[in-house]
Amino acid sequence: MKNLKIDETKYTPEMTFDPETLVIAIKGKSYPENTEEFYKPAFEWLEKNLSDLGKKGLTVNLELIYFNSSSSKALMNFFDMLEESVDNGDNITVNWMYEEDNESILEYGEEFLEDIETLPFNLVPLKSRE
Amino acid sequence: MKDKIFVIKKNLNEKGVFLYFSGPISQDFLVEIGHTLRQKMELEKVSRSIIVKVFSVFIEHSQNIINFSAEQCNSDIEGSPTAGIGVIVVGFDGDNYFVSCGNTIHNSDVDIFNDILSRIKDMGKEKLKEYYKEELKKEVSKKSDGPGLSLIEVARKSGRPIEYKLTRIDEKHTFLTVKTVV
Repeated sequence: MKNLKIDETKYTPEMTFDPETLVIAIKGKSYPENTEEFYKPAFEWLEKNLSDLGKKGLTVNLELIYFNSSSSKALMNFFDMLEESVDNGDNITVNWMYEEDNESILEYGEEFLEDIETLPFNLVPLKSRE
Repeated sequence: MKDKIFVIKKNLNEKGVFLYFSGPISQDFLVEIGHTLRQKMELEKVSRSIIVKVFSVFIEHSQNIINFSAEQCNSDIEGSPTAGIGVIVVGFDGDNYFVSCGNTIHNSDVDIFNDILSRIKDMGKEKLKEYYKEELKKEVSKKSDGPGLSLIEVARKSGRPIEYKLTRIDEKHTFLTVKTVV
């Protein structure tokens, strides 16, 4: 299984999907012009590899500082996919990380959590940069 | 000769406007101007949550102009950047920051915008949240990108009901203006 690494740009996050460490990390800002196109490689990778990784125990670390409304659709799709895996008996944990003074990100985390039923989803505060 | 640009600048400054743009808006444009906007507010020691809100409204409005402006400026070459023509304004009225945008839309899209904007105009925080979730699920399932989610997002970042105006230009076009006070 190959890992997937996409570098950060000014408006898209760094994405590291590592089958060795069993960690998926997404970090940065997300407001691409075409969200679907940007996240396509990530979803294709997941479709291929998620069930294998889920069986071994996968951790998903999300550390977003800003995302636009169309990126929230991609996140919703992502969580639906993870939850389906969990419902099939896989072991996946999501850590939604937010800087303490970034209320918006905390609120979005809480809202996703409200709609999630079986996927383990933790809200993790981080010390602010300033 | 009267210096027209000076007069325009003076008028805008009197209304608290510190950023005004009218013309083609592209992804590159909004990334760079958005960055400058953040920097300016950080230098002025504006709170993080206000900066995030103003930035978010600025990005949603700008991307809506790219996606829904009836006046487009793009080439036929696949993958080349697209730009929508519109107006974007950011200012501070002494108490609050505001972001306004304006662009031409097709008359066939007027109902879509009017329906969403008239609904969100009178919604409180909780109602907007429910509507956002509802629209998010709808858009995820149908895989289409309407302006709905984006406009609800803008309204959620607004401290006051959003104001909007639809001004008919001719039998094909209408001008849409949305004002958000953060």
